[in-house]
Formats: sequence, structure tokens, C-alpha cells
Amino acid sequence: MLQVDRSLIFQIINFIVLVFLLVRFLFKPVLRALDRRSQKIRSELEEIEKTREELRKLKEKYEEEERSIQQRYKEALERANQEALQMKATIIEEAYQEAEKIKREYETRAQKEIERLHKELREEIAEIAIAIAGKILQEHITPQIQERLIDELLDAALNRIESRLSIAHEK
Amino acid sequence: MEELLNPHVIFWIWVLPVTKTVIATWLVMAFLVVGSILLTRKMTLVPGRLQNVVELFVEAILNLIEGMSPGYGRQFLPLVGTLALFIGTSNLANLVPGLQAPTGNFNTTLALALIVFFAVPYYGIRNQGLRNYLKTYISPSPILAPFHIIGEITRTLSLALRLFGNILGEEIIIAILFMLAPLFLPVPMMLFSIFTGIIQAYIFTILTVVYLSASVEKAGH
Repeated sequence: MLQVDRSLIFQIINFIVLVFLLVRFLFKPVLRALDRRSQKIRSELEEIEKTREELRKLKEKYEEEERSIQQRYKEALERANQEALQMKATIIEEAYQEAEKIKREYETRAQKEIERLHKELREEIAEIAIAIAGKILQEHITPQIQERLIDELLDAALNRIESRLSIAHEK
Repeated sequence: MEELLNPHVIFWIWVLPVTKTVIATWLVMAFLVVGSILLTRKMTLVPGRLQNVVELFVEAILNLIEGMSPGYGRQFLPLVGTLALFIGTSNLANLVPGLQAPTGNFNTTLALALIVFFAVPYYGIRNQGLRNYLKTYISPSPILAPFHIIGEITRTLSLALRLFGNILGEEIIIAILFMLAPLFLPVPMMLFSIFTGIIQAYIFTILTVVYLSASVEKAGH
């Protein structure tokens, strides 16, 4: 019949020994290989993830840079426009002022010219009038008239002297 | 028949009898250890075909354990994996002429069942402490403590007897068939014994995992 004998102890020892042997020769090496593989896969995945992250950052940086360049370009353009407008305004203003100055200059010069011409004209007319008057006098003057004229001139001169004297006296 | 049940003692080592079963056990052990050494000698990062088989087996055991008690795969692997390999190989030892399956002897299966019997409190205490482990005996009520203990003893016996009975039964059937018609009749039975041998190994293994996972679960869960 069914017998439990001392070989039971043997079998227990056998099994325990087998556990240790299999741990040593089977489970540990296999687990190590599995771990190593999963470790490698994990590290490679991490590497990929890291590279992807770096790429993403680089892309962001470039985009940022592009945006800032665009921005700077726009600002520069605007500034240039502004400056051009201002310059235009100053140039026009200056031109107006210059024109005004030139105009005034010419006006004063023209005025002076006119005055000079007037003066010359008057002198010429006076000369001509004197000449004409001299000629007329030469032709028409009589000794009586001459005498009367001298008298009148002397009278006038006397009158003026008297009036000057009286004014000086009054003072 | 009597020879199958209680094999001769071939020689003694001190007070321990070396029976045919013990020798068969040694052969199975040697086969497993030498096979392991050969298969794991050159573990490469990219596995070859043989390495794949070994890794597949280990991962299958790990998954079996993780499925029932997540996180304990590596802790239980030595015991559970050795049980599966040893019982499976032993059951198939029947097919080698002149060899008797070590698992066809009650001493072997009782030894395995006793190891599970003691492994359950060992892992239970190791993982949740003595207090918490003892609490599982009085949960949900202290009245159930004797039944818990009886359950542990009977399930150990049933583990041992189930495996022993199945394998011995097959051996006996094959032996009888040999006597009746030695030429062809035993062959289908031997083929069938491959199937039942693997099934029995699987049953023993998965029951062990169930008992172990119950032992590491917190009381009241």
C-alpha cells in the first residue's frame, strides 16, 4: 500500500537543491538577459525621446528667432518710413524757408534797384530839366528879367536868413 | 504493481534510502541542470532560437504569477519555476524506457506538496509580517481558524495525491497495456500521457501560485 518512508526527506532535499541549482544556472541568467534587454530598450527609448525633445527645442528656438527677425525687420521698416516722412517734412520746410529767404532777398534787391533807378531817373530828369531850362533861359531871358530874378532870389535869400535868425532868436 | 508503489531500496546513504525513484529524480535534476547550463551559457542581447525558448518559459511563469499577485513574479519565480520544470520533466520521464516518473511515487509528490505547505507561511510572513499573516487565519471570524488550518492540510494532501494518482495511474495503465498487447496498444496511451503529464504539471504549478498569492494578500481583502 501507499507508504511514506524516509525517501520523502531525500526528495525534499533534492527539490531544494534543484531550486538552488536552477536559480544559479537558469533563472538568474535568463532574468539578467531579460533585464539587460529591457534596460537597453529603455535607454534607447530615452535617447530617442531626448533627441526628439532637443529637436523640438531647436525648432522652437529657430521659430522664435525667425519671429524676432521678422519683428525687427518690421520695426526697422517702420522706423525708416517714419524717418523718411520726417525728412520729407523737414526738407519741404527748409525749402519753403529758403524760398522765402530768396524771395525776400530779391524783393529787397528789387526795391533797392527801383530806388536807385528812381534816383538816377530823377537826377537825369533834373539834369535834362536844368539843361532845357538853361537853353530856354539863354534864348528868352532879358536883362530886365535877369535883374528881377536876381532881386527875387536875393529877396528870398534875405527872407530865409531873417526867418532863420528869428527862429534862433526865439530859441 | 507493488514495485511501482514502493520501489526497491537500491542502496543507503547514511539513514536515507536511495530508491529507484530517488535515482530517477537525480536523473531528472541532472537533465534540468545540464540543460540550463547549456542553454544559458551564451546569453546574447538578441536571442537565438534556444534562448528564446528559455526566455519564453521564464516569462510565461513570471506572467502566470504576476497575473495573480502582481509584483511578486521575481520572488516566487524560483519555487514556481522549479516546480513546473521538475514536475513536467518528471511526468515525461515515463516515456524513457526503464525510467519511472519520480512523480509517480507518493514520497516525491508529498515532498513537493510539503514544500508548498511551508512556502505559503514563509512568503506570507516575509511579505506582510507575522501579525498580518496570522490575521488571515482569523478573518473574517476567529471561528474559521480551525477550518483555515484544516484547509491548508487537506489542500496539501490533495496536491500530493492528485499528482501522484494521475501519474501512477497512467504508469499502471501503460504497464497493463504492455502486458496485454505489448506491440501497438501502449503507444496512444503514452502519447496521451505526454498531454496529461503537462496538464498535471500545470495544475500543480497554478495551484501553488494561487496558494502563494493568497498568502501575500492582506487580510480582509
